[in-house]
Order: sequence, then C-alpha cells, then structure tokens
Amino acid sequence: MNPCGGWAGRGGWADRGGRAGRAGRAGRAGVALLLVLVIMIPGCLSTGDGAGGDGAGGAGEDGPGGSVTLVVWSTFEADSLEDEVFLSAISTFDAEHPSITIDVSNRPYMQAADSYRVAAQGGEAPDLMRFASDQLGQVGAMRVNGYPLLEDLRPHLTPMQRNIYDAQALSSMRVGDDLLALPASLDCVSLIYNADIFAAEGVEPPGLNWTWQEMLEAAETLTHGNQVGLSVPIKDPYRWLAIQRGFGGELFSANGVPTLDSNGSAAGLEAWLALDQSNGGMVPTGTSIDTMKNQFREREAAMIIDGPWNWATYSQARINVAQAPLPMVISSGERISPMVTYKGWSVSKQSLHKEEAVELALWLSSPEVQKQFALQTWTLPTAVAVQNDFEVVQDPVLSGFLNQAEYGFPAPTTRGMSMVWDPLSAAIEQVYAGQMSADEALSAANQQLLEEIDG
Amino acid sequence: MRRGISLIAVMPLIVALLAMPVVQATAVSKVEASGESSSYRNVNLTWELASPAEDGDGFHIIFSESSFSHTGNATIHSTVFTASTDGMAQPAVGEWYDDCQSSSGDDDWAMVFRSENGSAVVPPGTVAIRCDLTGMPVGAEVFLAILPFDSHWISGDLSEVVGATSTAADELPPSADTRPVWFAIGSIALSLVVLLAVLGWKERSAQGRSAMLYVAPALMALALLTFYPVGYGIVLSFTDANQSALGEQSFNGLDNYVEVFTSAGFLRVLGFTLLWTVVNVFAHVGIGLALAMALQGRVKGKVAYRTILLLPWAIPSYITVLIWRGIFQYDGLFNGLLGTQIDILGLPVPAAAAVIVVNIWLGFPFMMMTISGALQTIPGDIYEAAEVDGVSPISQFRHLTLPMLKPTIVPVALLGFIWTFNMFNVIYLMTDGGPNLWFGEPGSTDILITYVYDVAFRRGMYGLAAAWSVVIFLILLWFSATYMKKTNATEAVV
Repeated sequence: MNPCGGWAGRGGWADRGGRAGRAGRAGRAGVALLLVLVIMIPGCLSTGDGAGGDGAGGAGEDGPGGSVTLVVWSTFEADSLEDEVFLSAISTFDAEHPSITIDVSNRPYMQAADSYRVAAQGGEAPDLMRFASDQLGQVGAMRVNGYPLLEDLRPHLTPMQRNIYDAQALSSMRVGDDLLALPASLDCVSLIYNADIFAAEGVEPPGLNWTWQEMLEAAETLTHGNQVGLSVPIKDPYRWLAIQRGFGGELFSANGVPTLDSNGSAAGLEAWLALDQSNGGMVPTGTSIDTMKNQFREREAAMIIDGPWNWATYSQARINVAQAPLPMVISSGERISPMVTYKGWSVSKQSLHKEEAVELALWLSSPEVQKQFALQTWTLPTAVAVQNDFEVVQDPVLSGFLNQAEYGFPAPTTRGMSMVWDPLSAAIEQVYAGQMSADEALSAANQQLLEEIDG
Repeated sequence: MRRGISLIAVMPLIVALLAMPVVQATAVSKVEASGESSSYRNVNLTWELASPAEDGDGFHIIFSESSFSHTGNATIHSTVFTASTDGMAQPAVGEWYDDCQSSSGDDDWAMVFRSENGSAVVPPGTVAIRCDLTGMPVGAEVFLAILPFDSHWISGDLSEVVGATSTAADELPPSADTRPVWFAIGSIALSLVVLLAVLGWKERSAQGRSAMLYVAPALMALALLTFYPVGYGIVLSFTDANQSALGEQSFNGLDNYVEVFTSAGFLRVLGFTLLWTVVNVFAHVGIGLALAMALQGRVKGKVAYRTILLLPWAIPSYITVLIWRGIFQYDGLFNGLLGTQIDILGLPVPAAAAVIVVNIWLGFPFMMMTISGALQTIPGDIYEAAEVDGVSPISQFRHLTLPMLKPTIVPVALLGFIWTFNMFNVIYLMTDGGPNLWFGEPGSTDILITYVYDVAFRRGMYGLAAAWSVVIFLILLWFSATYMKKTNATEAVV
C-alpha cells in the first residue's frame, strides 16, 4: 500500500467529491490541529515562574544517588602549566568530595565573559567561572528578569574565610556592596629584561630608582641591527594605563567619573607614542603583543613591559630573564604604575548547588592552591599567608611582581571600567594616525566614555 | 648539669609568669542560637556574660557541623574583642551580613565597632553580644559555642554548645518564561497548517495536493528555525532590550531605527559593506570564471591544478584567516618578502584591502568549481560550428560562453552577494573591525554584520542590534528582489 494513499489516493484529498473524502479531510485537519495544540499547550500550561528546584540553570543537575554535579568553566589555556595545576586542584577536591562531580570545560579567556553572559541570559550558566576584576563591573550590572547573574558571596563566607585574602584583593571583587568573586590571583605588568644583553653591552640593568629617561637612554644604547632596546605594543591601552599614571593622569576620579582628559593623560600618551619608530623612537612600528613576545624570545629585544603570565615562555627559551619595577617619571614625580587586575572565582546566581559551588570556589582560591599556582606558574597570590610565605618571598619573580603590584592601582570594579577599552583604543589610533592631538583624542574618548556610562 | 642549665634558662620566664597580674577570661553564662528567623546561610547567636567584659577580653565564636566538647573539633567563625572603641568605625548595617550588636544592660543594643582589619570590637562593660553568623550550612544543624579568652590570649572555659539550623532557602531566579515562545511557534505552525489546508482545498489536482504534503515538513522546520527567529528579531527591534535588564524590555517604537539611521557611522559602514561585497563578488566570479576557462581546455595536470585551487576552500576558513593575519602582521611575511614597512592591519586603507584580499582568496574556488561544472554542460559542437564560421575566440566567449553560463552565474552571484554581505569571520578574525579611528562608531573595516555583533555582544544593546539586523535583512531582501527581477535569475535556473 502506498503510504501516502490515505492522503492523496482514493478516499484521500484526491477524492474531494465524496462524503468519505470530506470526513477524511476533517479528520486530518483535526489531527493537524491536535498536533499544533500539543506544541502550544505546554507553553500555555507552564507557569514560567518555577523557582526552587525548577529554577533556571544549565549548571549542576543532581546526579544518581544524591550526588551533585558542578559545571566549571575554566579560562586557563588548555594543556598549559596553569591548566595542569588547576586540574590537579580539581582532582584533589574531587577525591575529598565523592558526592560532588565536577564537569570542567575550557573557554577561551577573551570570549569567556561574553559566553557566560549569553549562557546566563539563557539560564544555562555554569556553576563556577573565573572572572577578572575589570569584567566584574559589567557582569555585575546585568540583570535577567530582574535577577543578577552572579551570586553575592557575602552570606556564604565566615569572617575567617574572608580574612584569608589581602584586603585590596577582596575589595576588588566587590561591585557595589556585593562580593562577586573570591580572589585567586592578581596580575600586573612590570619591566622585564634580558640580563645577558645588558651584561654583554655593559649597560647598567634597571633598578628600583630608574627613571623613564634612564630607561629610554638604555633602550637607545641597546638598539642596533636587529635588536631593539625596548619593545612594547604601542596600541595596547592596558599597558598605556601604567604610563598614564606615571605622567600624572588617571582613569577615573575617586568618585568614578572618567578623567582621561587630563594634562597628565595627554603627556603620557605623547610620551608613549613617541616610543614608536615612526615618531623617532626605537619601538618598531606595528609592534603587537605577539611581536613583542617573539622579539624577546628571539633575544631581539632587551626590555619589554609584560606580566608574569609569560614568564614560563621566556624561561623555556633559556633567556636570562629578570624583572624590575617600572621606572619613575621625573617631571611628574610619579612612578609608572600598572593597573592591577584580580582574577577570582564567581558562583552563578542560577546555580542549584551554591553551597557546594562556594566550597569549590574557596578551595580553588585557598592558600594551598594559590601556593601551587605561585610556585609552579608564577601566578601572583592574593592570600596573605601565601604572599608572606618563605618560598614565595624568596622567589625573585613572585616577590618582584608583588612589589610592582604595590606600586600599581587596582582596576575599578565599575560598569564604566569595561567600557574604557573602545574609546581609549580609538584615541590611541587617532593620535597614532596623526589625525588628532593627544589632548583632543583623549577629550573625545572621555566624552564618549561618559556618554556610554550614562547609557 | 644539663637539668640545672635548663632550669636556669627557664627561670626568667617562670618569674615573668608569676609576676603577671592574675586575669581570667570573662565567663559566658548563657548561649542561645536560632536559625529560623535568619537570612540565607545565617544563624543568630546570642551570649550573655557572667560579668561585664573588661578591656582586653575576647570571644571566639566556634562552630562545627557535629557536636563537640572541645575546641579541637571545631572551627573559629570569628572573634569579638573588648577594647576602647574611640576612633573606630561603626559600619553600615549588613555590609558583610555578619552584624554584631552589644548590650551593656537594660536590653539596649548597639552596633559593634570594627577595627582596621574588620574584627568586631565591643566596649568594656558589655554584658551581652548577639551576632548574625554567615557561612552556615542550610537545612543542617550547626553546633556553636563561645570560647572566651583574656587579655593574654589565655582561654577560659568553653561555653555550652548549642545547635541551630539555618532554614532560609536560597533565592533562585525563576525559570525563563517560555510560554510566549511556544505560543508564537504554535501560532506560526497553526497558520501554516491552515494555509496548507486552504491551498489543498483549492488545489484541483491530486498531484498538487500531494506536493503540498511533501512540502509541509520542510515548511514546519523553516517556521521553527527561520520564521520564528526572524519574527522575534523584528519584535525585539522595537524594544529597548539590553543586557542590563533582559526580560524587562518595553516597546520603544521606532527609536532604535531612528538611532540606526542617524548614527554617525551608518553611511560609512554601509558604504564599506557595499564596497566589500561588490569587490568580492566581482573578484570571486571573475577569478573563478578565468580559472575555470583556463582549466577547460586540454591542460596537462588539470586534476592537480583543480585540487590545488580548491585548497583555499577546503581548509577551514578560520585557519586560513589566521595564517593571512600572520602574513599581514608588521613583521610578517608580506613586509618581509617585499622589504616594505607597512603597518597593513594598523592603517585603515591597507587593512580594508587586506580583508578584501583574504575574502577573495577564500571565495574564488567555489565559483571556479561551479562555473567549471557549468562549462562541462555546454555542447562542444557549438564551438566547432563557430570556428567553422570564423568566429574569434573572444567573440566565442562573449556571444556563446557567457550567455550559456548565465543560468549558472546569475543565481550563484546572488548567493555570493548574500554570503559576502553577511561574511562575519574574516573581518572578526583579521582586524576585529579595526583600526578604529572613531569614537562609538564602527571601525575602518567593520561591515554591517560585524558591527551588529559589537552592538549586541559588546555593548549589550539587543534591541538596537535587532534593528540593525532588520535593516540588513531589508537591504538584502530589496537587492535580491531587484536582482532577480532585472536578471530573471530564477527563470535562468529553470
């Protein structure tokens, strides 16, 4: 029998004239209507406000035997040393908590915050994710149906647990009053140099009291042939923020108003762009972060401005790598001060297992795990005990960068912070292309930032 | 001898201890705990002192999830010190949800002070203290006690151990309300059923009615996967939906469209999108046609050439784009080979040229293969006849080949136009729309689709991004309709 016979053959639609045909059509229309109702009815019946067990969250479903599954998004580069230490910490927690299963997946760091926002807005946020303090302001301001995306961790912690962390680190994880993450590490850039190049050319290596001018003079001396004395990604606004501070500018005022349009900021931008070869400096035009890293790895750059996160890469290249604080600027009397960002573990507001998620977050940011990260990957700790730990203090890289962080300024955890990068990049491009003066470009960027914050 | 020496060594310590004033930790007379009226992960603990607290006294709050009789099995939750509170801050209520209050009698409770490190400090004379304790388990009994200590940190007697259970449940966001989604999908499906039923009723031939049945599943799938998202996008474009308040959007009329058409970068980004599309499509078709023609005749190693020319298409596009990005870096292969020093990706015009070149590289193999296929269908005897008639190769191409290829090229070029107009990954991976010389506007190499991504996912303005998307949709709809009308594209296929 033709499977379509019932529809198109005798007695089907083809037989329009017959009573049976009409009855068949009515029956089929009824079936079709029924199918449509099957689709629509669940929508009409669902209440849509199922809190509690039916709450949103793609994270952590209950497993068999009352076990709990926590979904964790890791932003460590897959198969990196950091990833190895992280997974080892997860294994330890796993072994100590047989009733908790941890489902870890990697997300590229640059896209992770966007992915989290989209997932959370669809009710599919992971239980745990690592955020940087400069991202928290924006994520903290988001709401889905009036609810925030991240859990306020204050009710979850005892005062003793809070006291584990450096006060500045803890404060950098707060948006308004809410504590949105447990600080597990801090980052800042510093001056990194190839000690062998300095020694070979008889140039005094950088020291604590180095000035901007001394750095430039050394860089000029060390620039010849394929070698550059100083390599920096000129268009990188993150690194420029350190220079801005050194020349007396700042990103936001104490009450959170953008202050890019200051004289110090303009002086900082002019000094920064003057480093470019096209402006008579020694930094090759078009140097990107990758270019800078490659040059240093290939022993073609004597000094760079970079963070501890690339230290392993440089060490593996068998470079006699050393670190020094960023120099002082005589004209302003200020030190070049990097922005210090903190990274910490956040728990999703949508998590069905917040107590377990907080327990895991506490473990991942515990002194034990922080110490492993510090000693194995040169990740800077936020736990006071680890910062003062003998092995950490004895490590020149860790103590050097922690010292640099002392001279830095914390990234504000405001919504405006995440909006800084686009206007600032545009300002740098404008001045770089010679279309605006530093003053004009930064004023325009400041105006743009104000408008975006006002929304 | 040894014993003598060690006794001498510890003598000063013994003397010092004996000389110390005798102090005792203030005893705790009563402890009460409650978790029922507290907030999430919080229990309330109150303790009374046997005598007013003196300067230097302190109280460790200790807890455990199982009952305990000595401190070794419990954890310190927090510590309350007794000291002069002059110059100390009295924090706002609820800053850390671990508020403490103290009483000097008469049930007169005052917020405690906080030292620089955040520890709670009560003034001497305090007779009772109550604290909200954070970090407590929910739904399980927790055991609490007070361990007093004196000014020398010497512990007194552990207080009575009391239990409490925090009962306040976690506040979970509500599940997404999917009713409107299901209702909209159902409505679309119902409309389709009704449409098919009406058409089936009107259709006279059995074949026609069968055809409608066969088409129905595909139409249903289209309704779910295409019509609904498009419809939702159109609805969204009339709202102020944004990532800071998703689910609470309200209709804002044509505001988003006004913002799109009056935005400073609209004409510039539209202009570059058209330039990008037209140059790419012409190049794809032109290069594809040229290569297809070149490989049409008797060429030695034709298969190998075709295979090689297909490679740009066969390799995943993101890998190709990243390789090209490396080539165009300032210290990349391009400048290295030519000995130039052009910051290609850092300057607006070279960056625009670079992204177009990369997309041409990615797109021509498809056109080449399609046109090659079409060339195979042209009968060879037409060319033989033309040669007999003395028609030149150029005239043959112009008057025979091109007209014969039109049924293929016209619809494929339309397809290419739509694909290229919405080609996201090349620009996103090569330049991310930059360099950006404008404030709050699209970058130099942004096309409409990459800018919409910025608006939606970087600025989080979903309503505005939806309006931009509708504009893109309308442009493509208008172009497709006009193109098909002018070229009879659909007839050409038939």
